[in-house]
Amino acid sequence: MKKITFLLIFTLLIGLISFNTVALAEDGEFVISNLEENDITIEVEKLKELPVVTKDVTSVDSGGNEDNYTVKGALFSDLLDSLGYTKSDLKAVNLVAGDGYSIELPENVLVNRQIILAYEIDGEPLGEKVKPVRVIIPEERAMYWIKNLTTINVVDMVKSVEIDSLVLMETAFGQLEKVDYTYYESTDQAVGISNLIEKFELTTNSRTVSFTAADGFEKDEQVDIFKDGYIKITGDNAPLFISPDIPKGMHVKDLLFVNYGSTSVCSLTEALNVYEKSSVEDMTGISLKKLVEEAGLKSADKYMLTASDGYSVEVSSSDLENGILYLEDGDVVRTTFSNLSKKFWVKNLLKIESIM
Amino acid sequence: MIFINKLTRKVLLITLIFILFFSFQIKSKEVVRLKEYENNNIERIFLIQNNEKPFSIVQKISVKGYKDNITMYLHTSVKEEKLTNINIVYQDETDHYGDYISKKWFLDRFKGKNINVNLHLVKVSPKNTNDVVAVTGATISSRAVLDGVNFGFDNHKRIIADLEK
Repeated sequence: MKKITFLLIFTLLIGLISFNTVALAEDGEFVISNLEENDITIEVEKLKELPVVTKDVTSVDSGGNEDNYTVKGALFSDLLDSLGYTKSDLKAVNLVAGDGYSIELPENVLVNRQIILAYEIDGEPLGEKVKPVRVIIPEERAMYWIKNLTTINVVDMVKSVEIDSLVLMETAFGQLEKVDYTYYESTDQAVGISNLIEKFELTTNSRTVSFTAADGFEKDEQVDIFKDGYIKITGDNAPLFISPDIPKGMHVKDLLFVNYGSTSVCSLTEALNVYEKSSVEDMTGISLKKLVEEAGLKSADKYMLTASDGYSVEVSSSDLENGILYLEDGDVVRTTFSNLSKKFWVKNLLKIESIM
Repeated sequence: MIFINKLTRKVLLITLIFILFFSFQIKSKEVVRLKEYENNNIERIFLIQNNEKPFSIVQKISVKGYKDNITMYLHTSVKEEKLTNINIVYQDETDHYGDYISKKWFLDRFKGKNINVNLHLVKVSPKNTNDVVAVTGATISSRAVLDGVNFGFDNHKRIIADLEK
């Protein structure tokens, strides 16, 4: 009899342990990788032991569409605290989703924003496609609100690099091979970014490249992902950063500036849409001084303007105030100055460099 | 007595001929299930015969997608040896991307493909007639559809070879 009772209790205990194990597995887990070179697996059960945060939030996507939720979860800062770290120890992190989508949280977002690791939305546990947690960053756009989080990868601090060269996309792309790019239901033209880098000998020591879009959207992307990509130069949302291996949410549309190392690659077409226009004689364009400032080009006494055929002229910083950049026939970049002779009026302008 | 003029008689006669013609056509088409060719991926397979000659093959194919199985119906023409139609009837892929693989513009990339050449997935643009461009950002789901089509092509060829023996 004693043996039977013992066996029954033993079986019951095993059953309970198995049940709990299944429950843990069902809630899921994610990994914080590279935390002082360690990978730490975080079970959602552990998150639930941390102080609970409940918040009404509104997500806004790139198209301006809004969705309202009530989310419940734990703060990333509390999770780090439980592991003996603070957000400022990390400098920057890369969030990775199950479908390969990844995005880097810039330092200002990481440090200044509340980052919620949500395990419940609108009073319901997360669905299969959203589990184990969804990252919620109130006041930031939906691109950071990663579903199906698999990894929080700790990365080094992004160092800001001074820009000393501004390359005009329209002229640069004219010198690159175009490929047909099948983009959803249309076939557009694109240039390979590896070709751009090779042709213009662009270099960087940074791990990331920075995008600024015409609507003010800013994003950093890993250089390796950038190098495998394309810039779609025709059709919807062009110039569009795109790559066949990344989810649509990682594309960046209406590129205004792409900062790669100390070079900023600029779309004059987008700049003309964004910035106030100036006129010189009968031509209308964007002030050279304005563009140089917006691109963050290193301040200098002189600037070198170089055309696609190698022709170059030097102008002073004060001359920039009297010059404009404009587009002729849609894609020919030209400069005109109100105070300088025609030899300074560069056709097919490729780049502007600070001369120290 | 009801008066029927010449025109009415002609219309009635033509209608009768059409009815007889289509009745014959319907009777002449036969659908045969070919269970022996079904397997884990090919859930159902039907041979459509016209006047007792193989006309087309319809296969219900299921393949593993990114999240779950993707189920499609594949129509291939025996005479033309081409894919004539493809429909996705079930998918549960990642939000948005699943919708894309069901869209006409994606499925149209398969239509007219020769069943004798297996399809090849490419990511940017097609270079060869058997290239199919994946949906941007949904390579795994696109590949699953393409794998399903290739299974269907292989099965089609096997059936026709057996029928010709």
